[in-house]
Amino acid sequence: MIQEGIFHIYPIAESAITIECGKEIAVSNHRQLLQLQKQLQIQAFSGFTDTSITYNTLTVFFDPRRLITNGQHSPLAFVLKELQTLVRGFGHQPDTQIPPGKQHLIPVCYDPALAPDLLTVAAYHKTSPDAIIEAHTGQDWYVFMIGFNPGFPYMGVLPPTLAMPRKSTPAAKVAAGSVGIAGTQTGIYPNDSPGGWQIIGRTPLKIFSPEDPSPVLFSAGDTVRFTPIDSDTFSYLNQYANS
Amino acid sequence: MRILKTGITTIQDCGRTGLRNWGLPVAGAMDRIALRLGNMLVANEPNSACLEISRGAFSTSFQRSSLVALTGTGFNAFINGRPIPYWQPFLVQEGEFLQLFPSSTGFTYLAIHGGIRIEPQFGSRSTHLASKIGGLGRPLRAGDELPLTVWPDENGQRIIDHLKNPAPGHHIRLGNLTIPDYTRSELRFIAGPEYDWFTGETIDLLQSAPFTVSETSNRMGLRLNGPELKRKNAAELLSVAVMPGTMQVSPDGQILLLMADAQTTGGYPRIGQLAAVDLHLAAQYQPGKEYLFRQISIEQAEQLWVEQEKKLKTLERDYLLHFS
Repeated sequence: MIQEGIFHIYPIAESAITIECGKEIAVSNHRQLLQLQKQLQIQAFSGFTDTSITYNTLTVFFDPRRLITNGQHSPLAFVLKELQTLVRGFGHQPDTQIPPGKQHLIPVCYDPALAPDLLTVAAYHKTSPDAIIEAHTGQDWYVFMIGFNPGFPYMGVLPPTLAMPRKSTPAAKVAAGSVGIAGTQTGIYPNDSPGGWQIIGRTPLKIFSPEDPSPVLFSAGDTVRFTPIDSDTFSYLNQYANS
Repeated sequence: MRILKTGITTIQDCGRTGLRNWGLPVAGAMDRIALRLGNMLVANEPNSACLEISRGAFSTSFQRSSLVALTGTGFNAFINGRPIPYWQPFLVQEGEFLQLFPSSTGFTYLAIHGGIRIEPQFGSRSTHLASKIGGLGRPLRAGDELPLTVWPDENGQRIIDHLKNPAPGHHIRLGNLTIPDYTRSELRFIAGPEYDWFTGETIDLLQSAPFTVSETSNRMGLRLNGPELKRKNAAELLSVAVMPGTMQVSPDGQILLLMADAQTTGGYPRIGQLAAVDLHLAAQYQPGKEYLFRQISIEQAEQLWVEQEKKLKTLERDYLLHFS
């Protein structure tokens, strides 16, 4: 493991190296990783193929085949050195110099018919469903990562008044568009799938459209504000109706 | 070519990369070595799209004469009733039928000169079933027509000429040292980032106890049955990057070995990462068979991979030279 300022750099496979920043969920650390990712994409080293950003890690993937064709005996050693140089030159960027992501306004219907766990969440916090809705729509959430399923945004950080553990037994089917809570995160299911998050509402918007050239609605670094809609508006806006 | 009968068959190449931040898995062939050798045998680029055939009888007819090869394992193959060996190129004549009957668990690759010519999606022809991306967006069905190349290229034509007029006593089957040894039961791995989260006894068990592969395994991952792997602590892991070969430990103490359709991120501790050179052996697991894990250093894992890659490159070059 290499330490470079606030970053730790270590390989996780023959073709992947992780850059870690901090141990907990923090927007400021995440924005450092986002900026590092951007620099890496602009000045890609030979063999670079992909990155994967999570809460506190940026994992860099490369194709060792291209590197041994270029005469490298150890592709890993080469990329480790490249990343160390990059991170050293990067240092710690002032947050004001990192451009903000996109802002999304996402309509959500919190009608009990589409929110199977809203009452459970309210009971857990000894409050009313309306208070939960108010808290969930009352501030912006930061998108830390896309994962689990194509297009699934992990957003946060939820205050203790909203945070709740995931279900002990996952639901066999969660409907596409469902908005849920797990720990201090909130997220949206892009497709019908099994899932353990507490479902408190549903958005009529498609957040993953494989037929679209740009199929994913959210990117890491974006912010999302939820806005409540009634069930008539949900039906009117519903993009899942004919699928 | 027209599909007449099929179990679970999908179109696969080396997968799509560069889209992990969309949460899009790499997908691609489970057994990358079989895919690559199959493509080599029919003079394709290493990344050409093949059929990955599993679970259930398969048959197809060819509308025109085609240069094909079968690699991988799990089936017995016949052309119009004649048994056909794996790991060598052969010609299917216009109107002939290729049939595959399951003989064990496994993935077989049908490589066809020129590859399957469907449109790539996001840079790959690989099918990812869960997101309906790539290939036909679904497993193949009886009645599907797949577009093939019309004219062979120069290298393909040379192999075709050779097969039409074989020199006496001449075989072009791959040697036994090149064909993967799917009977091997040792799987090598490197320590994962959360290796230290597990107790010393667990690490010993991991390297001494036998593991079997559960029947519920699929292209996303293999669920292993073995001794319960115990943690020193109960810390929650923040979601991190995972990839094919990642050995996650689920809350019940069992290993989930992620495969080609692995999700991009996961929240279970990563006790290890399978050495890349052994990933194709895990893909072709046999139910009930006992596997043993052996830890190696990442430097060793990389060196093994570099040696394998050099051998494959040499083989690919020599194979084409052979026909020129």
